[in-house]
Amino acid sequence: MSAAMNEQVGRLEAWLAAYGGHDREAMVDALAEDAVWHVGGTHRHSGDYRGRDAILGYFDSVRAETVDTMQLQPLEVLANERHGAAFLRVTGARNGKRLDTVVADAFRFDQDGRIVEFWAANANQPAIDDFWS
Amino acid sequence: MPTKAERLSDAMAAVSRGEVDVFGEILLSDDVVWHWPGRSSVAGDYRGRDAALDLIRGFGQLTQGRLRVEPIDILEGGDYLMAFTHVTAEQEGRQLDVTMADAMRFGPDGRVVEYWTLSNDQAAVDAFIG
Repeated sequence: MSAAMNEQVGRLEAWLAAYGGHDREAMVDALAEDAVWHVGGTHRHSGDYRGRDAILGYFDSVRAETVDTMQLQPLEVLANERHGAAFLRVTGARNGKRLDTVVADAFRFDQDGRIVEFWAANANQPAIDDFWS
Repeated sequence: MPTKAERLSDAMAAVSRGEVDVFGEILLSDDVVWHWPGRSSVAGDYRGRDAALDLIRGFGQLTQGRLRVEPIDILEGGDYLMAFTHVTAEQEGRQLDVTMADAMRFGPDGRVVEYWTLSNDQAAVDAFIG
C-alpha cells in the first residue's frame, strides 16, 4: 500500500471517529462544501442530502432521535486516493426498538482528500426502515 | 488461493462471455446472500447461489447485452472488498449512467458469502429496472 493510500485510510478512520464522537469541527473539515450524501431505504431520512450544511443537519436529526445510542464499530476501512470503503457494525436504540446490522459505506474523495460523495448499503434494509418507522 | 481481486476479475471475465454459471462457481459461496436495494421489482435479498445467478441472468435479459461495466477501483481488505465501477446501459430508449460500489464479504473458502450492490443513484437504477 502506498503512503498516499495509508494516509487516506487514516483520514477515513478519523472521519468515522469524528462522526461517532459528534466532533462537528472535524466533520466540517472532512466534508467538501458540495458533498452529496445518499441515504438509501424507504424510511423518513431516505434521500439525497446536498451540501455540507444539509448533511450535518441530517446527522443532527439522527442523533436527536436516537438519543446518542447509535454506535459504529469499524470492521474494515479501505481507501485509495479516489475512493474509500468502510464496513461497520451499527447498533442503536430508538423508542424501544433496537438496531444491530452491518453496513457497507462507499466514499468518493475530492482532490484534497475530502469526502465529496457517500452512499451505503446494509445487510438488513427492512430492519433499518422499521427502526425509523 | 487467488486473491479476492483476482477472483473477482476472473468472475467478471466469465460473465462478460455470457458464462453466468462460471461466474457463480468462481465467486459465490453456495449459501451467498445477495442484497439488492431500492424499490424496483427485483429489490430484496437473494439467498443461495442459484437465486443470485437468476438475478444476474435477469439483468442480462433486461439489457440485452447493452450493459457496460467499466472498472474504476478495487479496494481489497482482509474479509471485505469493494469494487467501484462506472455502469452504463440502455433499453427501449432509457439510459442508465451510475457509479456502482459492489461490496463483498468473503468466507473461509475464499468465495463471497454476502454481496451488496450499492449505487450512487438508486432512484435511477430503480427507474431503469422498472
